[in-house]
Amino acid sequence: MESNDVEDEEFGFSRNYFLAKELCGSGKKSARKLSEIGVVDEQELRDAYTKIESKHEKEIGDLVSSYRKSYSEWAFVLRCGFGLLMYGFGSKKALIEDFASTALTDYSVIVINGYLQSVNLKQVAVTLAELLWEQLKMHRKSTSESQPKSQQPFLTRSMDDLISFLDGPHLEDDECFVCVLVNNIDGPGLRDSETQQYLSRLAACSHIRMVASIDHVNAPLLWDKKMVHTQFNWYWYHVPTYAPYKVEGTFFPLILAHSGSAQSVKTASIVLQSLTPNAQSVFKVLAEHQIAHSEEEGMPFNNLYTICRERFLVSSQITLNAHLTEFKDHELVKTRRNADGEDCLYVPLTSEALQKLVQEITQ
Amino acid sequence: MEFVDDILTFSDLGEHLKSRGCYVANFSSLDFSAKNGVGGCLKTLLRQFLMVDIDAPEMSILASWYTEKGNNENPLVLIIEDVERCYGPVLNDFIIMLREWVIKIPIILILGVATTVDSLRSTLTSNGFLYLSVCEFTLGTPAERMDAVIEAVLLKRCQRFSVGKQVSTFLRNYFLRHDGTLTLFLRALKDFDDNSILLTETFLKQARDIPSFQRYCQRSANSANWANGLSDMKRLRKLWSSTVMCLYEVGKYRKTTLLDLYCEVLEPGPDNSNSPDHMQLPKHNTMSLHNHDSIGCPKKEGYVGWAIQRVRDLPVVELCKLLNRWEMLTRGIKEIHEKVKELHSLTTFEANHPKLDQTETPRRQAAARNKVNEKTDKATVNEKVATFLQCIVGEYIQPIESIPFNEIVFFDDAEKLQTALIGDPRRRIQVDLLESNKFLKCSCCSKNSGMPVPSMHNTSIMYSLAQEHGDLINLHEWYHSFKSIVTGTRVQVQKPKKRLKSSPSPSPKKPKDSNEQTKNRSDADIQAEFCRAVIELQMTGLLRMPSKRRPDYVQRVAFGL
Repeated sequence: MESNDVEDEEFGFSRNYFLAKELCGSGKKSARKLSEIGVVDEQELRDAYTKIESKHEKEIGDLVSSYRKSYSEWAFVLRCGFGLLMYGFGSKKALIEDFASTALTDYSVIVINGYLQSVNLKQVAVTLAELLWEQLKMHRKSTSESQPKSQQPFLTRSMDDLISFLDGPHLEDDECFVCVLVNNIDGPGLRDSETQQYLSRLAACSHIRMVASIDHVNAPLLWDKKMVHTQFNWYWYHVPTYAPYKVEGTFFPLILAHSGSAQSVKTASIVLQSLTPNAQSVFKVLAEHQIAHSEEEGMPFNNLYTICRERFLVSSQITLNAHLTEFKDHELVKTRRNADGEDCLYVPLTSEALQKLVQEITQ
Repeated sequence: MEFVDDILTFSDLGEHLKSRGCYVANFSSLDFSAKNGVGGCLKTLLRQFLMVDIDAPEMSILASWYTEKGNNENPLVLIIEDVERCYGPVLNDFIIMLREWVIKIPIILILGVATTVDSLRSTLTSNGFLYLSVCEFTLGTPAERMDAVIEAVLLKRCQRFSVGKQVSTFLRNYFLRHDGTLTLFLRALKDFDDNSILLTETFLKQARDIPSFQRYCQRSANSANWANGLSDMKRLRKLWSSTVMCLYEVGKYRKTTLLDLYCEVLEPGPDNSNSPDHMQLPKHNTMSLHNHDSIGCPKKEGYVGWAIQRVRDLPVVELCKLLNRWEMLTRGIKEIHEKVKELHSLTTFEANHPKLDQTETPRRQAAARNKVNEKTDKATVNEKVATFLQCIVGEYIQPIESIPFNEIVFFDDAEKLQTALIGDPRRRIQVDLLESNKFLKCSCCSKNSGMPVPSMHNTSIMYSLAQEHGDLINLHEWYHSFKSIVTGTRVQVQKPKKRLKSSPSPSPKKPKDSNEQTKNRSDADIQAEFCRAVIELQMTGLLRMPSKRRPDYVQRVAFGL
């Protein structure tokens, strides 16, 4: 309790959302652009990203191995019919998989990686059913029961069928089950409510036990009371590891690489290079005009048409329009009104970025 | 009904109806979603009855299946657990469709409604609603069931395991204030059960070290062995639970729930375990006890005292009934049962005699005398029963901690239970980040309490820095404060509170100052670390990425723990 009070004092000011809102007001005055940081070249950044040294490697190792002595308890709780839910800061992928490979060796285990962009849950259910089928067959052989009649392959069955097979009363003892490890059950691939419903129904099956990890602070909002209490039946464990989210973070954009102008110049030049030389030249006319008159709203359509005609780039307004439509589709060109009420064309890039782009396409 | 609690009720009902020859199908609200449509419902229906998947579901298939069965006595029963959550139009269409076939296929719908029956009217169109002929059944309230659960699990099976004051209070508070459902309670009970199995396994090996066993050995010097200790424990627990049940019977006169009583009786301390206290209590506190009565909130100290007083005040007939119930409750426990029987026969005698007198001598005087007699008799009988109650409470309601071997069955770790059953990721993950050195137990980061130091985990530094910002964090400023910390150039004297009024973040150091230190860590490294920390915060949901409108800001999501 004492430590809580200390926290209260230390972070008391951050507690208040409205205070935070006020702070934001004062923050705006000193607003600085992200581009002012002086971001290094994207490739260099990515190289450095792969080579980040982690701090406290020894302590992290100690922390993670300190959980090893709880493995037997976890396995026991799992056998009792609870689902294990691991939370706390740090990647828990290695921890869970280590747990499975040490303490769950008697059972079949399958791993679902929720951090992937999409997960085929039907395939998961099919695999689970096949594993259970194998396990049951082994069991029947050892107890010399009669083999059940051959049945429809799992792949062609519906999800409901598969779930009722996994939930079916095949054996008297509960010890015959398949473990499902879900890394990031709150991950992007599993976040929608339909998938969560299926997962909860899977978790509720008598022959399935589930071990999952969450990272998002609001992950419990994915589940309603029924799912949490009767289907997943979670037993929460707070296991911070502080291990880097290496694999889990693969699909997130680097904040400094993505929003920099480097990215947009690169993509724009790729688009432009795939167009015809005439189209490129039209774009260049527009770009040069914008560089020369950077304070203006843009270039009126008629001016552009006149210049392009003079240079024999287009023969009619229709062809010019075709080019412009192409540019607009790729967000290379936008229109806005100037003070005279004329529609002006402009390239949504800064002057420096535009210069760089023009250089790239002239090469 | 409370739909989470009643899932089992419905599946049991389904099983029961099946055993009576009905055809039963269970639905949940998911089957009545807009996405599935009526076709989806029908598909589920056919799947459950015909056991096959049909691509083009039609009612005629069901009808022919039903006539094939040839047994037209038994109707089809469809159970829908949670009607409120169904998509109204689909449910409505489904009901209209069933109605069209009702002559061929008689169907009974069993609908679980959590609010009021009127809610059906709002989900269905008037047309669909008219087709239903509604019968209402009300299931027991959660509070009633809670009492039944406590009686069945904690009192009747108490030799197996028992819980302490803290745990029971935690569960009671959770039940009353948060959830209102039994499910968590039941899960908790399962958890104790598991825990006690675990404990039993470990304790059997090291029984000699159990402190209470040692105490027990000291008390009864002669051959204190295992079996005696355990059977003693069993006996004491049984006496304890039957005494609680007796108290509960008295408590019924003012609608005390068993849950409240249970929590109260568990209170360790002298009040419940020492009889002299109770002897004094009722006499001094009669007035205040009556107050409690009227308000209906039993005060802890008062309950036993109140119960005894109540027994004193009971009319003979009621007392007789009470003793009758006590007799039933204590059957098999000879220590209490004999006395209860004795008292019971005494009261039945008292209860019968005045009646006879009254009928035989209807004269006023005699009646008056009788009344006086009755009063004194009643007083003595009531006093006897009250003394008896006092006695058993004093003798048998002992704190569980004093019973030998209590460690095997006793569980009072409310905190462990709470963390296991109700995780608190929102708070815990933030604490992980803000106090990383507590978990990592490193020597380097604990020196500077509260202020980020370069050796800390990068994401920890970043999140601590984010605390100083408003709901929007300027990426540029954030990066520079991060950079100044990891390169060790940040002025450490600054206190976060001071910065509240000034600029939210220290102005970035000029490269000139930090040139020496930054040499060994290139910008690329620091930027990469920054990126990773942002990604990690994004994954934990503590940050929202820059929008198109505000490309230079990220948004903070959590404020305070």
